[in-house]
Amino acid sequence: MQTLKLSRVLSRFTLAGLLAAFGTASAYGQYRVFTQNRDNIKIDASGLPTDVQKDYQVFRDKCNQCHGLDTSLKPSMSSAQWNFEVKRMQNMASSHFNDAEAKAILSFLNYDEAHRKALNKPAAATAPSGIVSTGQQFYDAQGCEGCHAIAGKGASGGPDLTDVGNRLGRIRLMQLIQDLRSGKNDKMPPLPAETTDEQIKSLVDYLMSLKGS
Amino acid sequence: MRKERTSWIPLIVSFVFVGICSVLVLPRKSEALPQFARRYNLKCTACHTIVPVLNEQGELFQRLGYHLPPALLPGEVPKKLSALPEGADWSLTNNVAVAVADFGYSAERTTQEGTTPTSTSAFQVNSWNNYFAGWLPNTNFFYHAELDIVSGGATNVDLSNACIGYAGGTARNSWYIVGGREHLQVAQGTRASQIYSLLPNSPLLFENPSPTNFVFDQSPVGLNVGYTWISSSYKRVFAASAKVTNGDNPDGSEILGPSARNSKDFWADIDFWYAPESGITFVDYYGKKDNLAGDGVTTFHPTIRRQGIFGNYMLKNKVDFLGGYMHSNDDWLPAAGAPASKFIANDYYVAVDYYIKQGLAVSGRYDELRQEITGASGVGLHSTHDWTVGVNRALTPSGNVIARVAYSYLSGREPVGAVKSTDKLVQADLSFNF
Repeated sequence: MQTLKLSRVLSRFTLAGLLAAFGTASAYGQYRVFTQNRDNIKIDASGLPTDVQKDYQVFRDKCNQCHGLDTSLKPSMSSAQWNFEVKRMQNMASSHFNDAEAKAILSFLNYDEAHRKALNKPAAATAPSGIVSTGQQFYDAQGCEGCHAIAGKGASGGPDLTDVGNRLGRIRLMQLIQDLRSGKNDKMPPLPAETTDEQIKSLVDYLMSLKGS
Repeated sequence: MRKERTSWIPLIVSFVFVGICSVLVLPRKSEALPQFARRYNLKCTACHTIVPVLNEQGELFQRLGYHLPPALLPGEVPKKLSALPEGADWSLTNNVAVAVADFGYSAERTTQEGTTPTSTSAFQVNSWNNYFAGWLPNTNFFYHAELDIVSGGATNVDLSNACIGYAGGTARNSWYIVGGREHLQVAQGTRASQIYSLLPNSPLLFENPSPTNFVFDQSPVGLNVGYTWISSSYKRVFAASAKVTNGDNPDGSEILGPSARNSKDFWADIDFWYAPESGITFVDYYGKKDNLAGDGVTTFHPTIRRQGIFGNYMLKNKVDFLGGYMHSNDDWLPAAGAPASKFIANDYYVAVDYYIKQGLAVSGRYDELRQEITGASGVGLHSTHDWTVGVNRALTPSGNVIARVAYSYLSGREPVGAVKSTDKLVQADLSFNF
């Protein structure tokens, strides 16, 4: 009987804690839409070379099991970065693609990078947004919005950067990005080894300017 | 123009009718947590083959304290769980699921010796569950609460999960401890040992119609500890868990009134994933719970024991062969003053799930229960057989809306009175996970 009473007390205590956490969450929670099924970029596979069509098929079947294809079709990355990403995905639980399939996926991503994305890049560089900072250009070129969002633009796989300038200091940001270049931080895709200190500084300047609305 | 508008009316009426009234009678247990998909911006199918069946990633996601299992490259130094990416920033919407609901239609015909056959059919809401689950930012603490509004087609507000846990160690060698109210047999063990399947009802051995009315589908209060070891590239996974709990009757209902006796449970599982999406699990359960004797009046306090072994093998990520065996050994009292006896059962099931493509699967399962009461009050060994076939189809690319149709035929004699009965059941249901 005492055990039962204790059980009930524990149960109610847990519930009270959860309700308190829920209330706090309501106060600080942000609305985030269910975007997992929204792929805005459409690839017309019939217009691709035959061998690329096969690679695209593998890419679509394997990658689309867990996430929308925009996750890969949106960001622009170097061949080394895509190689890194595909290798990591291959070593995730329940990913289920072998070396030959990984090669096909990488082959398609590199083809897409060299064709469709290359065509879109000049348009992005001359976007009618007026003055685009060097740091922002670097942010776009590295495909950071594939995981991060700024003011609602970009994906939500990683932390929202809308107010990152308020949340992290310059030194912390600089360290974090330098670690990406040196490969010490493998939570995120690495930056190319040839990234210059000036590019990192401009990226940090840009991120520090993001103070939220 | 006018003609076109008119032609939409029957379609809209049909859609609204199906949407409002649709699906069925089965006590389906929705257990998908769509807020996790929002948190990591992933589809439901990242952690489920088809909701609610968990894949290996889904199983391990839970064991790592709701952290997404990371890439584990050969030779790589494993990261601490606290260093794993936590997905998007904490927000209410990636911690709450407010509409995990299941609507259904069922038609059933039952016969039983000595009674008139009955036929029933119904449209109803089978289940409506709400979840609040996630992690405390920048800590290894996680939480899971489930508030059920409708269960088994009946409105019954119940907090069936309310627990807080802590996960420690690295991505390869991790442990967790959870306290509070937690479901006894959900996401514990490899796929064949889950009470969830692609078919509407659990394998019969989990819903064992034993005289003690014991079922695995219950949520007692207590402590749960577990350990998980993962090899490079997830080629092998070893896991073990143990729970000590209290507070539920054998049929899963909560002990609410004063009781002179408690209702202890001990539960353990050992699991080994030996190939992609394939594994074996050993389950052991021991409990002592108040129960009614065979006369329906006398209360006694039997020991309830279950030992089971379960396994599945996924062939080419297309065809999943599953099977399980459970041995039951419960104390049994036919009536006050009668000599004590035992309820012994050896139950098993075999099943096949064929994934035609992502989000579409056909399934079949055969269950057999072989049960008897020992001693003078026994009426011999009797069997119950159940055939079930079904089709699941995900209706959205993310896999959060599922349609299903299933048919089952059950026949056999129960072990106390050897009364023969049959049951034919057609079920169609539509589940929404938002």
